[in-house]
Amino acid sequence: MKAGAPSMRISGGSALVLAGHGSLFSPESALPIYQHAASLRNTGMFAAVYECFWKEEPSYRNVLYEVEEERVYLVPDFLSHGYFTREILPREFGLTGPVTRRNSSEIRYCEPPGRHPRMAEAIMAQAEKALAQTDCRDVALLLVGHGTDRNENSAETAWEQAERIRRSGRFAECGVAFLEQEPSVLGWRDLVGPRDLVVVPFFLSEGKHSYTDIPRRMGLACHPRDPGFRNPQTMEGGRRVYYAGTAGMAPTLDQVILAQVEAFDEAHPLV
Amino acid sequence: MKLIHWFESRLAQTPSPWTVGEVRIYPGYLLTHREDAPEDSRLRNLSGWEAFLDLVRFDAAGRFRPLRGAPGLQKGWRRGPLSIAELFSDLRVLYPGAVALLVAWEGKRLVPTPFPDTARRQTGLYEVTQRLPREDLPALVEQICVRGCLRHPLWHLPASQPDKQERLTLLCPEACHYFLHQARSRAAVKTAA
Ligand code: SF4
Repeated sequence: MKAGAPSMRISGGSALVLAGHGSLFSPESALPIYQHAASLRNTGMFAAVYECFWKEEPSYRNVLYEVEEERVYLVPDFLSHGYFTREILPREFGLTGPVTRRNSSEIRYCEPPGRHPRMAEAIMAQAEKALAQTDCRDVALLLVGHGTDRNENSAETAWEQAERIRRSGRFAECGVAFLEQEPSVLGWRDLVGPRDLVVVPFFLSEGKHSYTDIPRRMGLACHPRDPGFRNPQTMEGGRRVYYAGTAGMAPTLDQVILAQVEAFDEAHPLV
Repeated sequence: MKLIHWFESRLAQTPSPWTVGEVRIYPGYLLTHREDAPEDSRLRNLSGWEAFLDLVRFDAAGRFRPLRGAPGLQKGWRRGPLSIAELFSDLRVLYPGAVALLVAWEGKRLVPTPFPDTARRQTGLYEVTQRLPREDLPALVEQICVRGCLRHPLWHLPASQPDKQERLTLLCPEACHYFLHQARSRAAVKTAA
């Protein structure tokens, strides 16, 4: 297990089901879920670890045919706690609450890693990696999420993490912007002070949003997939902009997932 | 009975080599594309889960294969010798849920979901699938599932209970997202016409 791992006491014989989004077009979308599952399998803390997806296979509806363990921790491998985690997943898995009992089995529905306090650390680690030797206390961090008008809670997670980052005092400031709702990333200059900036996409995987949509809307000359891309890029007034990997690709995400399982057991003790 | 034990005994009861979708399993266990011969020295030995996942998720031209049941698995590789647990987990990567769905089907626990029920659960961009004309469904199933996928769409084409000693049939109890995506395009065209 990695250093700093939560001190877990998961009862033997439990399964972990990681439910991701996946994609019909972008192979990168499911990649972090496979990586998290592989890494959590290696810890040996669960009798079995299963992946399932909304857009790929196995589907949310089919995965439970594979699960043979009686106690199942279902963790949405998402950053936002919104439409998918509050509506789609409970519906597709037939959940009745945080603990769903069916015959002799029970599903323990954890919150997504994006919601856990340790996620703030993961975001800051991604920012610090992009900044390399630069002192982050002089730099503003801008967290850019997707946002949606379908579920008003979707953006809440990004705001919560931004508040934790602010309270940590490690960055000069921390702003939040979205692709699909206000405050829009188009207006990023109004969201942070006129200082150097590090942008962390608040997405689980890399993909079109992180490689193209955010940089384009911010007016960055170079996108992360361009051959000549490197940090930082200099913008008007000499301001330097650093572009980080997505929050979900932070190497400690598997530990954040474990922390969510542990938090669930604290809130809903095993009987 | 545990799924892995069911699988092991199914193999023991049926003559080898065993074919599942586009792969063939040889005693020992060796796994190859069904059109490759395991003794062919040109096959590359594939080890590690990441390399195997890549092989399954991309075709020979490097294009993403979101539908695991679609024919087009790359050739020219070999896995093994594998333990039964390794073989079982490779099959989970190749054809997710295949063994579990077959066991549930044979045990009469697998309940296929009719297409209108699946369509009714769709929201947003996929809501339009609810308006797919009934008469368009057979042609779509023929094109996408029958010709473009190795799974049997139980949700549309009823199947007799498989012969228990027979093949490791790939089953599909509910229209997948790939199908819904195609159905959505068809329904959107119809709605606009
Ligand atoms: S719906 Fe059709 S294409 Fe999709 S998995 Fe089932 S059989 Fe294959």
